[in-house]
Amino acid sequence: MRALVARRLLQAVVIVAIAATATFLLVQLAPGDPLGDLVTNPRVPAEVRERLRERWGLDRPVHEQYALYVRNLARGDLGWSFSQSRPVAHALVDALPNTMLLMGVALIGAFVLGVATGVVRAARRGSVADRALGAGTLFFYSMPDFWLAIMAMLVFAYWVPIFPTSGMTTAVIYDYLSPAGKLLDRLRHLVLPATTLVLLLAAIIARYQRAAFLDVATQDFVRTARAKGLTERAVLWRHVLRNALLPVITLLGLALPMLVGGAVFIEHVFAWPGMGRLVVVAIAARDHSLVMAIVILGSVLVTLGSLLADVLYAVADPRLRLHAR
Amino acid sequence: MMLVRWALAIALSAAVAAAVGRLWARMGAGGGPWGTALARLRRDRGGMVALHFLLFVATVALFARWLAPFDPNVQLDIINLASRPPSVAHPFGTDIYSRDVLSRVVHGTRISLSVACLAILLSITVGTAYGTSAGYLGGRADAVMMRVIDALLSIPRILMLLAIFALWGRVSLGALVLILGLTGWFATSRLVRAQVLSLKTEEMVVAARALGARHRRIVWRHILPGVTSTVVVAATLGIGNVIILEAGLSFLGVGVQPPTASWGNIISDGASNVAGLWWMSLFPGLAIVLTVMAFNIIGDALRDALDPREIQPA
Amino acid sequence: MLSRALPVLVLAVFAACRPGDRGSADAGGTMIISVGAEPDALLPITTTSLAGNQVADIMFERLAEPGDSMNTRGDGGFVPELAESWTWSPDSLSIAFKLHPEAKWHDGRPVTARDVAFSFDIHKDPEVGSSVAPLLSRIDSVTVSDSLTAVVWYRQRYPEQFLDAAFQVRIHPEHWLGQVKRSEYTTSPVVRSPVGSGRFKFARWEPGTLVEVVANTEHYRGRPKLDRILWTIAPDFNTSATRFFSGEADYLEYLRPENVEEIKKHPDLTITRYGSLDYGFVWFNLRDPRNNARPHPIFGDVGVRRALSMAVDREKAVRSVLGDLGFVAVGPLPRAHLFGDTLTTIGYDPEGAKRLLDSLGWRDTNGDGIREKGGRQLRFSLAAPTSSQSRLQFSVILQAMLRDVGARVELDHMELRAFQELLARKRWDAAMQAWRTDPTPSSVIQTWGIASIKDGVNFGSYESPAFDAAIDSATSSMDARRAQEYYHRAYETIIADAPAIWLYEPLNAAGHHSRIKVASMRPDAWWTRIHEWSIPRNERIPRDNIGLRAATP
Repeated sequence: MRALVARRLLQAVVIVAIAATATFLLVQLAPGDPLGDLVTNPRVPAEVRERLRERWGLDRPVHEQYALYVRNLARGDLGWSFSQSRPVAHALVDALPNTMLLMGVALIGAFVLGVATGVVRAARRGSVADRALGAGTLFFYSMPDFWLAIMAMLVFAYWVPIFPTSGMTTAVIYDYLSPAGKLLDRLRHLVLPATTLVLLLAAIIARYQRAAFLDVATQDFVRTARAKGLTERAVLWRHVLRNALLPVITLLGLALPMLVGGAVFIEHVFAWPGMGRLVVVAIAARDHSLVMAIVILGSVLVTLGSLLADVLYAVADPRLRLHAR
Repeated sequence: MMLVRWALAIALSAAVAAAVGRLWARMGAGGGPWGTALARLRRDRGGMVALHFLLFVATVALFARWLAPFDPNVQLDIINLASRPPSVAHPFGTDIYSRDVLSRVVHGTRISLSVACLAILLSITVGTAYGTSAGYLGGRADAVMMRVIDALLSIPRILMLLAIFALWGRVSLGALVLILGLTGWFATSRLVRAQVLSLKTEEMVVAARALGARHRRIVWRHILPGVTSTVVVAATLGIGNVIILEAGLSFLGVGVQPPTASWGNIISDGASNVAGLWWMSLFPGLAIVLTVMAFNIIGDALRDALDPREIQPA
Repeated sequence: MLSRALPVLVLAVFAACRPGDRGSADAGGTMIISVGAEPDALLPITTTSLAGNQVADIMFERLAEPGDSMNTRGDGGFVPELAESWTWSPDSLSIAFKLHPEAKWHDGRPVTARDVAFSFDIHKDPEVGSSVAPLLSRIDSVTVSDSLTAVVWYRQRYPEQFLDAAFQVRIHPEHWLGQVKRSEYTTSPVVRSPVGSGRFKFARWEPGTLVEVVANTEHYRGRPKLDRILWTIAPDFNTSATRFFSGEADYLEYLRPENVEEIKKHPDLTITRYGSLDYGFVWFNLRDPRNNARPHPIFGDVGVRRALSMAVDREKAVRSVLGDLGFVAVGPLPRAHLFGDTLTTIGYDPEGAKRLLDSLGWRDTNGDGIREKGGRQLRFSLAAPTSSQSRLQFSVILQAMLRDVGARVELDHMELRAFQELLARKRWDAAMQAWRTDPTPSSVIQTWGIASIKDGVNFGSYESPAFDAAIDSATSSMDARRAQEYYHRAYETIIADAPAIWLYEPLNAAGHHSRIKVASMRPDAWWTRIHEWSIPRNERIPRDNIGLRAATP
């Protein structure tokens, strides 16, 4: 088990390193001089400019620049955000928890909804419920994230104004609310973005889940279980569901990149102050170091997610566990 | 007049759909894995409805100029015709610049569809080439190539695209296709490689190798035909994703550049006032959802027919 | 850009506060202002943004403010602010300002004559790069005769010498700002929490979120009626409008026509209209963005600039974007400054534009609808900031209008700070810009004068000695009628040179919650009397009763 984790960790490090290198190459290939721009920018503090020049080694050959870049990344030094007038790391630290909150809620909601849908469909294969849920799943699966967000906003924030249109808390006033008021305010703001994200992600999960479920349901041990005379319900719950959940764990790893993508649009539409919105704002502000840092952080998140999924999978699947020992 | 043209377009797409159906039936009679798959597809009601719809959308894209009631970029009357809700003259309303939204959606269909199709074509080609090479070469080369794919897949695609656009700024349509295509082949290559690995051990290939056939011949004759179905299904399912992605980028203002209309940037034009200009998000959005859904239905049907295993969209 | 008083349109009557009316039983309430862009700085001397200027103006003070006499020549009608009184020397080459003895900085230290001398010094220092520096060139020095008396010495006498000293320079505390290196006024973390002397004092600035100021209950002319003012920062105009309509904010400063319609549907919202000293224009960069030593390949030619001006139906564009909230601009000046003058402008004439471009060698030879000359297409980018919905709309309308004469415009929409950055670095072709002007027409030299190319805000590098000379003659002429003639000549010159397409003048309308009782608003700075704004006790909503306590984030 430990060996498995160690091996996967090492792989993760390699993967993140490659991703960071790709990002570095991207910056090098870009037209203009994105880093040089920052160094000659009078709005960036003089000593920060000097440090930047040193940090990026702008006057040195590319391979030395690359070495410097890697060293800075390893130290967690992500550079200076021109648009925020502060270190990139500070901006990320502010935004990350907000994104995590939204994604966490969405992930849990989507898994419950997605697995349930998948199971119902597989269990009642061919029924009206299966077909209706199938059509619904496909409908949401085919929908652009931002459009569902806009439609949700149109209906529930403008036409029937029961939820706020944007933000994570009521601007300004929130700071002066009582603790209970603060909680309620946050929940009200969370409903629309989280629901949107849940629906989109649940559609993806349900598609995989139904296939996985059917796959398992036709396997030998299920047939054996049936032959033993177990009730259909017992078969479903005890044998099929447990085994069909395995691929769902893998899906956890897959869901993260989708979630990150979805978060970009949904945070943008609902002005949710997370990483997704930060990246859109950074692009509009031409803040290259901030954009790059978010891309690298995004890939770290995704890699960690799939690492976690692999470990969970190993824990859940006795065959793998045996093997890993 | 306009109605007649639209009726003609519907009739044309129906005729083509019927012809395609007949063709499939004939191929189905011929047998073989593709033949049985197509025959099955023809019996799938949902799949046929989706096919009809897609052919209609393709017709709209092809004849956009004749089907759009107005020039999509002309500001008809910025004083009196701006921000009008749907009416008989403008079924999808007008935008804040008094442009006809229906005409923009029609022309946007052309742009969005061709960008998506070309991008998918590019990803599929690159992905197949890369995956085949990795799988066929095997060993260390394969291991390295796959680690690179893992890393590239670990960067969420939307973030990668946003980073590219942040650095390159506004790009031309051709560059957009290139960028979308070159960031979309990673998953396909993994699929293809897996398929190639299993094909490599099949008797035919082993025999050909033993007989000393040249690599090129083995790849073209035995390996590539074996991965076609995987690739076709991945492409069909992938088009939907690319359409959504392009729409998203255009919505954020970095994809298709104004005044050229794409489904995404029409929605973006209306996003400044979602409540007051609801028709600007509703109609192009529906166009996206229905088209993507149709592609996915056909992709699902193809997958069920061709290959029971999971194929992830490109 | 700069905020000062307006002599002509001023509706405000400056009621000087009686000393001793400190603290009022009815004081209280919170006002939340919704803005679509982050302030660039909160220090009056460095801020160039409207949001930054508002906050800075509310926290800092001047020696005196122009009054309702609408006068900018001499000191007639000026209302004392930090200065309690002033005396002219017999030869008019110096003015001694006597400070209010009870005036204090927000940290409790007294405001002294040394602070005044310091403030003049930093405003003139090229290292600081203040945009009012060009206006202070005729001020020689400032001396301190006692702790409350500062004397401003002039090199020559001129009509607006009082205005320049009393109004252009906002007084900064030496003991606090002196600790920051002058080259770092824009970047030092210290200046992010400024110490001023005004009716409101700084509370906090959370980047991307909000700025908060609270009532200065110790102010020497009495406390303001509101407890606190907050600016809630949205990423663009539309989000800021949404916040206002959803009740999350109380005040939206610049309404668009569709907002006016929307407000009519909300019984608890009110519209207050006030004048404007702004003008908006399509700015041409006259220098090559890649190499500023060379003229711009397209806009270097005055003929092309004039032709493009002729191609734009400004009347139609302005009506479409602003409705009845604006009209077509004349030149780099609002109508308020025209004094009945009639200037020759470039009219709408698309056919003439095409002929002119043809004659200049810009022809569409390959039939793609875009003109070329010498292998170069008539194609350029037009930048616009997302903080202004109007400017975004203008840019799209102009794109279509210019296409009709064979020019291809590529739109470049970006966040306000990136936009300002782009302008300042002169790496642009054309831009949708708007300036806010001064109470006098003389200030035009700050934005279009040669001296402002290198250190100022003349980012398009318009360079006309004739224009500069005429403005110079106008500002030194003691004869008002002669001055008017010089101004006329200056404006005729710049309009004919077409360094920009003079597009619109907005008519301002602010939206606010009806419980907020506003005082009259000055066109250049609606917030000048914000300390008189109030919220009656019986109309208060929960957030008005926060009191003066600090927030608990």
